[in-house]
Amino acid sequence: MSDPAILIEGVTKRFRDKVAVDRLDLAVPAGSLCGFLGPNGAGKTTTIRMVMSIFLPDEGRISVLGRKSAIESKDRIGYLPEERGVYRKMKVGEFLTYIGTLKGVDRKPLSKWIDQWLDRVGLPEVRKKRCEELSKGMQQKVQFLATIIHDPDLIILDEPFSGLDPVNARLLNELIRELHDAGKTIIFSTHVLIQAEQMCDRIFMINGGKKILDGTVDEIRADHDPNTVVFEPSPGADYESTVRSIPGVYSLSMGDRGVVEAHLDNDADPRSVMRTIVERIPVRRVEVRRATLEDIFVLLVKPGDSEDMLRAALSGRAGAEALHA
Amino acid sequence: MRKIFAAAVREYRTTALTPAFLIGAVILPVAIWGIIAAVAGLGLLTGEKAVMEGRIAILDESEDQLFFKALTAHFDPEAQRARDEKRREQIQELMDQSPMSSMMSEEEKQRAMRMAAPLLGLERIGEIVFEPLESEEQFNAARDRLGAGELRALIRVGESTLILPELTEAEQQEVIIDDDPLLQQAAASRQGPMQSKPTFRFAHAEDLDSDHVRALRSAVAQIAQNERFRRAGMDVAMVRAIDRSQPEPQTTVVTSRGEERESRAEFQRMMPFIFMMLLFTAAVTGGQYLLMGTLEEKGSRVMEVLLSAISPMQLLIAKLVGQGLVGLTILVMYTGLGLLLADRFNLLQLIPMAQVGWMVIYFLIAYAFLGAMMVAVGAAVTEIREAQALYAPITFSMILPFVLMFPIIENPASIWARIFSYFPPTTPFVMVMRLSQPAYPVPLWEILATIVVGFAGVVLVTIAAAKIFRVGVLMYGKPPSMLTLLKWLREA
Repeated sequence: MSDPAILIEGVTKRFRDKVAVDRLDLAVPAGSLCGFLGPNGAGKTTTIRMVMSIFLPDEGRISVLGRKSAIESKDRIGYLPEERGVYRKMKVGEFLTYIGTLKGVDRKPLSKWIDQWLDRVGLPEVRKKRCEELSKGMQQKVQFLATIIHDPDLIILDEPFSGLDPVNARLLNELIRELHDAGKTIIFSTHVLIQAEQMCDRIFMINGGKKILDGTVDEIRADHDPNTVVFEPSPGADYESTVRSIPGVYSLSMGDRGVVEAHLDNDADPRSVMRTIVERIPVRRVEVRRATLEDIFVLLVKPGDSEDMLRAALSGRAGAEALHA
Repeated sequence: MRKIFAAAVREYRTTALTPAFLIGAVILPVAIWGIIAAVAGLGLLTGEKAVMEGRIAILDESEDQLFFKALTAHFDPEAQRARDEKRREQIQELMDQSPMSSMMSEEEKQRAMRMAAPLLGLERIGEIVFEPLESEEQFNAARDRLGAGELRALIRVGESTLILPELTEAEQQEVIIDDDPLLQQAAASRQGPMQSKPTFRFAHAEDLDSDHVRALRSAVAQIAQNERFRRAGMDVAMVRAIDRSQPEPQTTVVTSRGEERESRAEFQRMMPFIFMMLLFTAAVTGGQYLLMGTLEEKGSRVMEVLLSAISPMQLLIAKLVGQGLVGLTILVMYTGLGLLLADRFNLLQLIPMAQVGWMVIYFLIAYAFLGAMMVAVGAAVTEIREAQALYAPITFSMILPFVLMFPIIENPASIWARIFSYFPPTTPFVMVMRLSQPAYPVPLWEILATIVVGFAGVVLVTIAAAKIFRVGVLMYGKPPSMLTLLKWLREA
């Protein structure tokens, strides 16, 4: 395996008394598409800003694309911040040109690139428009283009889907996949867990500044497999005593809309339980329950971990500053 | 480096190459001068001044009722018309001599004359009747009549208005050059308690035009003056004529290079003020744009997008450079305009060219000092309203040069002028004021030393600004207090 695109080792960042990131270790494999999850205020944005060298860690080391800091490889990184904006009075074309120039792209190829990509994201007419004339969704797309304008090897997207309608979300999804297929390393943070589950080949989750999940989607699922068989008995069928008597089943619970969940012992084989159920009672369907990211998220994150609770707990300016920093 | 350049160019372009900048920096000042000129012109044009007329009572206790007779003669309608006619002729003569005259028809000239008449103070005096009073009682009664609006003014003159000063023996022999106000006062008091100064009383109605008050008072004073000259045995006409024809100095200045040229000492006095204002305007304008620009980038959340491509320090430097060029543009524009005007009015040789060169360097110090503080404030707050609380040090360093201006222009070699030359916030302003006074040359070592001190100050402020900038740019929410800023300085 090649060197990781991002390597975070024992990184800690404090704002006043609050520890935003706590001895974090993380390795993002080159060429992977990673989801970066966690409740609000978990330290995602702080971690990303440290990766970008916007903040400096208090302890620990971060290397990006094999360099000691992002400053040395900034032109190979595309970063879409969560707090993102545009120069309102600037024309879209000028804005993209400016950002491109800041990232070290030559002017000449830039112009053609901008035309092509504006076309690609369905905004062929906006080049001469002022940024303030665009809708929020359109601005988002322009900002995404600004992120990848210099054809970076590493792309970091902080909440890229927030504020996008389903059509544009799908477009962005496609673009991210394309970039991934082209061999780019991509990390994005999101609250839309389904998306992360569908798109990513790797997931990190942090909570309270600490890493609580790290692995491929399948690995994480396997680790948190609930070992449950779900079936929907035909109406009127008497299933309870029959299913309870199947070896390996230790309890039953009612799910939504007539669905029954059979929870198995850890060492029981779900496939044999399924077979037995089909043989003994009339059912409409039966399946192995897979752990969704949402299940795992809810399992791992207590309501009190969310930023809202934290904000209430931290009173005064220090708290607000810590959160905003 | 390339990134700094690109960002600096953007700063400059979005500020200086916009219609708003042209309006603010060029058209607005021109328009302000235009408006001032226009208002002054309007003031003259609306010169439909009140005509002076009515009754004026005068208790004249002088020998032969001298004042009463002279005033009556002076304000006689016939005499006034004659004077007006004479002035008209003079004006006509001037007009005929002007190059414009050949281009105007006779009719146009007359129309111009009619239009000019009120401006030139013609035709403003109507029927005035001077009523002689006989006694103290009548004078007291006249006071009541004045209050009742029956009279326009009330004058009391007499021999006391005409007393002559008595000269001491020393004074008779000494040639006195009265250029010292203190000596003048001493001379006046030497006349002794017995010899009071000549006085007269003048009371006027509440609604008497101030021009008319002045005209009447000066008429009385001049009558008294003439009579006093006569009583002292002088030829009044000759004294007046001598007074009118003061010897005209042909002042020249001989430079160190041996050139002799016309001296413009009066203009020279204005130089420190002009240089200081130029410096101030250019530095503050650049600084203001820095504050606004940083606030905009922060408010529109474009800041972090920028920081993904360029480090905070690079961005800070780019901003300082870009807006510094804006300030320099203003400086060059105004200085160029000033030099052009100076050339037009033949004053160019008065402007020390080395001074202009030093001014650019001092501008850089003044601008960078203010600008770094402005950027820090812009980065620390989210809204312009919040900036107010952190503005105090900036206001302080902007007001200080003005407080110091007059003491230093008056006393460029004083110890205070030198102390403030080495205090970075005031260094550039004090130094341009000192440098523009050739009578008090500043040694080269002092120029260089102040530049070093100034730039050292700039470096310190910029480092502090960079710390605040780095922490502040991505911080939203409640604005920090001055105390918080100091904490950032310590922590960052």
